[in-house]
Amino acid sequence: MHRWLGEVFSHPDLLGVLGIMAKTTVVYVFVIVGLRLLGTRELGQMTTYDFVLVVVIANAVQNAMVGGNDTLVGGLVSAMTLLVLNGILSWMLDHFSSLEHGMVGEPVVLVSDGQPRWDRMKKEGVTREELLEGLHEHGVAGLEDVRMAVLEVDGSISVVPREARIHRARRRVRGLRTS
Amino acid sequence: MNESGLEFLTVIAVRTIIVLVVLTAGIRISGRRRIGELNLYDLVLVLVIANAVQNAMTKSSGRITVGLVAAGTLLVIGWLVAKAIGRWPMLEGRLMGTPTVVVQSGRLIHRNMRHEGVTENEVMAAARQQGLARLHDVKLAVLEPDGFISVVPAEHSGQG
Repeated sequence: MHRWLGEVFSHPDLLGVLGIMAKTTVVYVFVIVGLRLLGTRELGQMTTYDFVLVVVIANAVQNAMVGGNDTLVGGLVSAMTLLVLNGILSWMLDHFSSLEHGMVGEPVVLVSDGQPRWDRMKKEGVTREELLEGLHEHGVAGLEDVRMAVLEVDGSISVVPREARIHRARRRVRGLRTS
Repeated sequence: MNESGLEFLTVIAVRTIIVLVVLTAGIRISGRRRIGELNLYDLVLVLVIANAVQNAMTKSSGRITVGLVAAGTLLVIGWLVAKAIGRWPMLEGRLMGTPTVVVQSGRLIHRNMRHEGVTENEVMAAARQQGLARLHDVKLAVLEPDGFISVVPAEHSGQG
């Protein structure tokens, strides 16, 4: 029984814990900065290849974080370090708007009172077809019926129509909830 | 310990349960429930965490029995939690969180927003998704437990 408990609640020594925290921090910062510099930031515009890339990156860094340490406490320390780092990142995004602008981006107005802003669309890589698709999704037929169309930071296009309100189920990532 | 014995598999099952419970508690405490507003960084976080705890569950064992026991344990717990919520509905508030009002009568409730980590930009994006351009047009906005922000338009917006 004693040996069984030892197998369940195995843990690294203090130096090992500190090592895992340090390595996890380095890996997290590296991956976030790397993704921001090289990759897409909008999940809504993510292609299958982007998704595969993210999954493979997560697997690639696994051993770098826990360093082959297969103790229970080692894994949990790494996970909690990640949650804390993410909390710090969220706090910084909330408090430094320039950082939020750089990392998450700002919503961009694409159509204002029926007037399309082609220059902004070109800059954001939104084509005329994608804009019209976004309007149609909201039940709006043409540009003249649009009070405002906005490219959101998650890559979706939201539309405020001139007249009646359109009910629409928003496309979204399904949750992890069972039941 | 014999790596193919039943005893070893019970070690895997218990470790898996502990990892799941601690992780769920950690995520709940850190206030990150916004699956509905998942961005790229959140996705990376989830995947990297999943990998970080992998060896803590499986003891680096690549044996198929170990993998099946760990995965099976997680599935059974998920099923048990769903059953328990069905039986005792008040558990849902505890486990999933309760809806939080973030806009009332066109005014942002900053205290609730800070607590849940919701930014003004996210609230405005949710309003625009409902065809509302200004905060003034929002009667009520609620952060739901699944992270989706639902918006009730003000009657004067002429769109209700």
